[in-house]
Amino acid sequence: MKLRTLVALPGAAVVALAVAGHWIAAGLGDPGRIVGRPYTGPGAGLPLGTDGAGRDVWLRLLAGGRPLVLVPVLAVALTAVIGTATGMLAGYRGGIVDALVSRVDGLLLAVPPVLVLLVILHGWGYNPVTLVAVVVVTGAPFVSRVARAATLQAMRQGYVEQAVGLGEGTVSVLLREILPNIVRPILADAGTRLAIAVSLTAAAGFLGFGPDEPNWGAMISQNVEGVGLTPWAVLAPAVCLAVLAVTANLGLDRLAARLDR
Amino acid sequence: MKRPVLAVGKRLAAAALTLVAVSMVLFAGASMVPGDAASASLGISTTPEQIDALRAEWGLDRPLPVRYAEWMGAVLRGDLGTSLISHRPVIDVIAEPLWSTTVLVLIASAVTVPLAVLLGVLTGLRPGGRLDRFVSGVSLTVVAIPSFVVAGLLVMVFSVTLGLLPAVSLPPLGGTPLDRPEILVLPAGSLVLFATAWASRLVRATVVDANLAPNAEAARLAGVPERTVVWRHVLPTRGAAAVRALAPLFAWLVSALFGGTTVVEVVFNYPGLSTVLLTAVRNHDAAVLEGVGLLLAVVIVGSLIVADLLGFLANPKLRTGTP
Repeated sequence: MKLRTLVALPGAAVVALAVAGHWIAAGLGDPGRIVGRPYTGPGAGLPLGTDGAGRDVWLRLLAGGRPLVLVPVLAVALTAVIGTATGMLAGYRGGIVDALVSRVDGLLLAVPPVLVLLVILHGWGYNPVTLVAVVVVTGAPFVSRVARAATLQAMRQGYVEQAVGLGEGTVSVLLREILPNIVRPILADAGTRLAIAVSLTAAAGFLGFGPDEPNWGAMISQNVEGVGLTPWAVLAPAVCLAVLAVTANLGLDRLAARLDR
Repeated sequence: MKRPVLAVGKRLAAAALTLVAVSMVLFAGASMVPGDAASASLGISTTPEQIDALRAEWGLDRPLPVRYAEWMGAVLRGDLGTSLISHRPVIDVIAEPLWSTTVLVLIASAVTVPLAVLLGVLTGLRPGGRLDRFVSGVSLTVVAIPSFVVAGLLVMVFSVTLGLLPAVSLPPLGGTPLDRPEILVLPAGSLVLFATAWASRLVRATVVDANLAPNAEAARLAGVPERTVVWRHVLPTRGAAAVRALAPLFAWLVSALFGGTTVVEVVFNYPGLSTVLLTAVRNHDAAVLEGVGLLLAVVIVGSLIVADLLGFLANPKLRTGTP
């Protein structure tokens, strides 16, 4: 129990930093302002030194987690809904619906997520909607597979047949009989989806897309040249990003385990 | 003997259809967009008429299916088109970077596959054991962390702190990455960490499944030593099924590596496909993007076919001749 708290503490701290750091930074100053020479080490008034453009790394760290929380959470929620719906429909209806859904899923699974990211950013630019679209297109096929397999298993359990026999309609069977019984595996998978969504969103910033606002992903690529001078401009966002992604994964896993009981 | 041939033919046909579907999606995604190369290459101080004229000159104003048919026709003749920005043939633009990326991916897979199988088998044979808990913990963490963060942390440790390996992976002027093999270590290492963490978990799941098969359990209950159970009972009976289950995994591995490498390359300034892809996206150079996308699709679908055939050949029913 003690060990678990010890592991959970940094995770909770980084999530709080990502969500609320924005407001703290707003009270401290403008993260875009140049405050010193590029790649100054930590010192008075600059707890983490400056980045390659001479901006305050601590302020940018406070403000740069926000884009990596809101978009991934929204995107994963949408991914789960779409993936569950298509997977359930494929498993329940079988036949041509199943063949179609399975083919499309297999097709999308074969395309590297980064390629999807680049093609969508190429066409529609960087904004919350395109980022959500990338996560949904690359993530929904995984959820769909999990939901389909779980649906097939649930249908062997008798209560579905019973419900159909009692005259329940398709929608009612799907929502009231099958859905509650397949939530668990979908939730167990959602942790991975959320971690990947955080990675993809950060990768967009890392690859240089998006506005010149603080973003942990972008901070890493902007300052990697200066790691020999001062490592903090890269190390701080890298560690925060790593802890955030791991927390996303393990946090949802724990939630799924709790539902299990 | 006819059946296997027919089955293989069917698989190849399905793969070809998949490839056509992927190429259509890619072409549509890369071409059917609001911003295009005409406006991107003319800059900001242009009139709509100038943009329309350039679009007409490049044939960007014709319907999408027509452009797809023309593009596909040219591709089948071995012509991937011309870059809309540099006006060089797409093949020339991507040939060298593609080779660099392939070298990196091949090295990474050559290390990943045996390592993932070894770790997966060792942990899967003793689920819940000390090694299993350790490997599971590490791989859960590594899988979640973005690959460029892993790469950045490796740079911190091995170049900045220890000074063992170069932080920037630039080959000598006019040379190839193989002329300075040490520049490949950290990029390949980042890919291996990420891919091994991911693949070893799936190998482990397959091994755990195979190990719980009824015949293995029965042998164990009869007092057969564990080593004999694994070598005499699990491997001969479940080995083929395991190969079938794992073959697609390694095809996906190729896809994940080719995808992951584009991000990792950026960390190290490695002269691979990432530079080409990113430049193409910034300049709305649809021709290059489609070319790279198609090549990647060929590689991925190709490895899926190989995986599928391996799984098919590992099917014991094929040896006995019964359908």
